[in-house]
Amino acid sequence: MPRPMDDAPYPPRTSMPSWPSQPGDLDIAATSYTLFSLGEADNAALRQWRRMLEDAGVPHDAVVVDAPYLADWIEDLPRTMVPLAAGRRVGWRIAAAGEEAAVLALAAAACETGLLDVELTLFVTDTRRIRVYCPHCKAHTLAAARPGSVVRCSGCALDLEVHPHLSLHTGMYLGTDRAARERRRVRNSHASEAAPEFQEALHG
Amino acid sequence: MADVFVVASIRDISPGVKEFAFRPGLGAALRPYAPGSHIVVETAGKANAYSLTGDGTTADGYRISVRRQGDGGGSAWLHDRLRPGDTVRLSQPRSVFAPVATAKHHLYVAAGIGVTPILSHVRAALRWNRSFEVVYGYSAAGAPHLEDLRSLARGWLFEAEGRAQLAEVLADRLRQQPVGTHAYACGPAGMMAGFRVVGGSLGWPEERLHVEHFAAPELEPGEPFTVRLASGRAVAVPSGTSALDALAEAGVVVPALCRQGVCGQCRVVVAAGTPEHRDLILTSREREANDCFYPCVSRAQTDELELEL
Repeated sequence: MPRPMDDAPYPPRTSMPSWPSQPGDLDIAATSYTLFSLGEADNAALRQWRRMLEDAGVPHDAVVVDAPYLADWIEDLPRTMVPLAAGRRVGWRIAAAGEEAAVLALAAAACETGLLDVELTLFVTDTRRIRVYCPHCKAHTLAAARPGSVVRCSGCALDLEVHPHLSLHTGMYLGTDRAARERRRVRNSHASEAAPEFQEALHG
Repeated sequence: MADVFVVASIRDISPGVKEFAFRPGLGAALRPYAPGSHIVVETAGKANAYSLTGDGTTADGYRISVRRQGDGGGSAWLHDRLRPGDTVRLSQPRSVFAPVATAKHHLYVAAGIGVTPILSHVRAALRWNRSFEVVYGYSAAGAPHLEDLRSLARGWLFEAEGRAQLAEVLADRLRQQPVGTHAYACGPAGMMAGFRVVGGSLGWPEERLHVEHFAAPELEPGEPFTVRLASGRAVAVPSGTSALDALAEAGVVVPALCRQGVCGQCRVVVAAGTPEHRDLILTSREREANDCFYPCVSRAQTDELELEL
């Protein structure tokens, strides 16, 4: 008999981020920091981190992006990250606060340049927007959505159902063709009337 | 586990250091290995681990370089007794010191006979076109494989004679590494401790600082404790017995290799209780999570450990 289809992520929940409720302490053993404030309302986390680094005497610089410019900034990140990281030495850290979509995109770009998770401090102040990856056309879509939402793909215009499945490597959630689920349901209802070997074929 | 190999050649490398090359005997096979791997050589009733020095493709057999230490040990037996054509039993290569695949650059640090796994890393880095540099510290009395490194890592070899100079060169190179570099050290315990301390003070997270341990430290027998399996069954672990052995006796076999907290094969997920970590694998951050332990060496701080077994 075919196994029942199961949409739950396995292992359970491991890919969903659990964001801290406070900006978090920075690593004062670092040789330098770049701070990012990404659509953060009053730059509160940025100011807190800056004080922390000034007290500890750790050199730092800051990038502040206001909310209206975030979408373009995220798209340009893979390119702008290269000159930002050029010439930096091991000992450099990144701390970022703000919109989830931007913080995740920055974390992905930082890992691409060679930083490790332990060299990043992330703080999300706003979870309204996320980026959704479409495996059908490989485009991604920035949208106000959460897992369970439906998002129209910016590449192929399919309606994507957003899954609780986040890729930290790309900073995007997985979305899949919502109609596929409906088609499967129809197919299953046909299959239940079919011979057992035909059921196997349908699910194989 | 061990197969029979034949000594193909023996040659002098530097004062007190010989290289042994092995070819497979009947029924044995050479197995490609990750750079930094070691093999266990069975010598006169003992088993000693030695780093393979090749690039991992085994085209010219397994090669190890052994420094003669003392008179009664495995290295003396290899130096004094073994002749080309003799047979010896070797384990499969084991990898506990592999390069990090996502590294942007590799900094290899060797001191003395600790050069052997580094030589393997350098040869593999050349074969696979990885970006790297080497720091090599040696004494006036002998510098095994120095000429090999000079020709392999031309322009990217930083030499240091004596401890003081090595500390200076090492700190300088650690300060100069581009973002994304991973560093690997093999040598005397004092050098490796210094490598971690200096790296940490220069802002290196310990996840970037990799060390190859020649031998695990001697461990205390430890306090008795109990492990509880997912089924609810309890297994007592007496003082002086490892959790791995106690579990095996109770019929629960956890796959294990090194049995000294180095290789990571026997990792078990901890659902409740606090382990007493005695392995050489977990970073301090991973230890604090207390969500897994290595039953071959680690024990418990709490009376009971609940395992996902």
